[in-house]
Amino acid sequence: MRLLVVEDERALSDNICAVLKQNRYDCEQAYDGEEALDRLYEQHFDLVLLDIMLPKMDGIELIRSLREADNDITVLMLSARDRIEDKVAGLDAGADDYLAKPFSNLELLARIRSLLRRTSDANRSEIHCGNLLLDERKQAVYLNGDLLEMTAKEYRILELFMHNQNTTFTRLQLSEYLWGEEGLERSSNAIDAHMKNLRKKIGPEYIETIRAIGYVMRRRPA
Amino acid sequence: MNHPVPQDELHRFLGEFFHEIKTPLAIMRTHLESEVTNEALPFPLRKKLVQDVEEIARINTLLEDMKLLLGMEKRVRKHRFQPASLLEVVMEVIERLEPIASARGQKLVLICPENCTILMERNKMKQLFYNLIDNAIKYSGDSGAIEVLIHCEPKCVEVKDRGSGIPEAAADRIFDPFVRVDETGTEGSGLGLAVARAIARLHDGELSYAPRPEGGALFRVRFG
Repeated sequence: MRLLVVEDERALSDNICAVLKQNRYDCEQAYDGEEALDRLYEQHFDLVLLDIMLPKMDGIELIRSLREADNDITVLMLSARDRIEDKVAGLDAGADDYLAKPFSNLELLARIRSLLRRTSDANRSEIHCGNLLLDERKQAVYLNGDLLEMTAKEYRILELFMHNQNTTFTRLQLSEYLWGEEGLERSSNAIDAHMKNLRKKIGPEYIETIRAIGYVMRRRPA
Repeated sequence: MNHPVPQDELHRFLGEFFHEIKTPLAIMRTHLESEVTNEALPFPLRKKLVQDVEEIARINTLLEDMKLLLGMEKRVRKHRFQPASLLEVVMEVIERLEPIASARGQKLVLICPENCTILMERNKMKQLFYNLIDNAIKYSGDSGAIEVLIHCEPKCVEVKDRGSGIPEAAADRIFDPFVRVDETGTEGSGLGLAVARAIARLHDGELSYAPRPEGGALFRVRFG
């Protein structure tokens, strides 16, 4: 999957790209609206991460010109201006989704996955870790071939870990991933309760606690 | 400044100001988060990075709270109001806080003889109930019972605890920002109730406090 990051703050753009590359996406960068538009006409991308405030041509204008040219590339807007007017303007202009800064890497990755899933069901697959199997088409989890009963939240947590084996997630990241809302107290230990229940079902060995940091699922041969 | 600044202009200025703060926060957060997962780094350092990311999230929450308290959201928020069930929103908050309450041996009881729908911004409404129920859990002591009641005539939600309540002398200041009645060192910014009231008012409601005759606190959100 090839992504174009259009963001004029170079430090942020570099960080986003580093995260995308860690997650096995190809990542290219553009630093202003005109450069981005040129790149999008010249090359194929699966998704664009687009900042609104950009030099030369702003994000809204950029989406408009893409849509007017019948280019239906998936666009995820990024902006620190999480004002309703900006969201409405962006979505009306033809963006597919909107993410307000500062966002967590985890939420960014989840949105990208969800947007890419919308465009192609082929992204859905079976993922293995040891004797665990997660079937994304059926949204089902099997341990040694036996179907496990899961709540929706447990499934979402497990799906995240299966997709990101060997990646450590903090409680804050997990709690934003599950609940997402802005403004709620986030460092709650509600996550620990969900992890405990999940471990009861899949067995204690799959997800490791990293004390004071978070949780990780180690890659295991199937 | 010699002349008072018109409110619209002030809000626009503050909007830009928040924007300017959020961008460097975003940069710091993505940077730190990618290091947290780096297992080559020494453990004590990673632990500190986790705390730093939490502090950044806290600054962001504070900025969001300030927008509410300064009334910056009033005009724009109404556009995104949707009808939603009070019960559903309260249940989501309870589902999230229940594990924390039960870890303290407390019981969270929901009483809802009738359900009703109001126009709301769901996330903000969740934050309102979260702040109230979270407070009740914090100040209830172990093994207390917390009751959440939903009524429809008139539409209101009550959160009752059996904690120490609020000293009479402090009762009229508890909704002021940065006022902390409790001096036992319980965590919090002192904005929880101020934000809760601002959210209630955003929904044409009112949040009030009354001591319970049998001891403990009663918070009532009444919708117009």
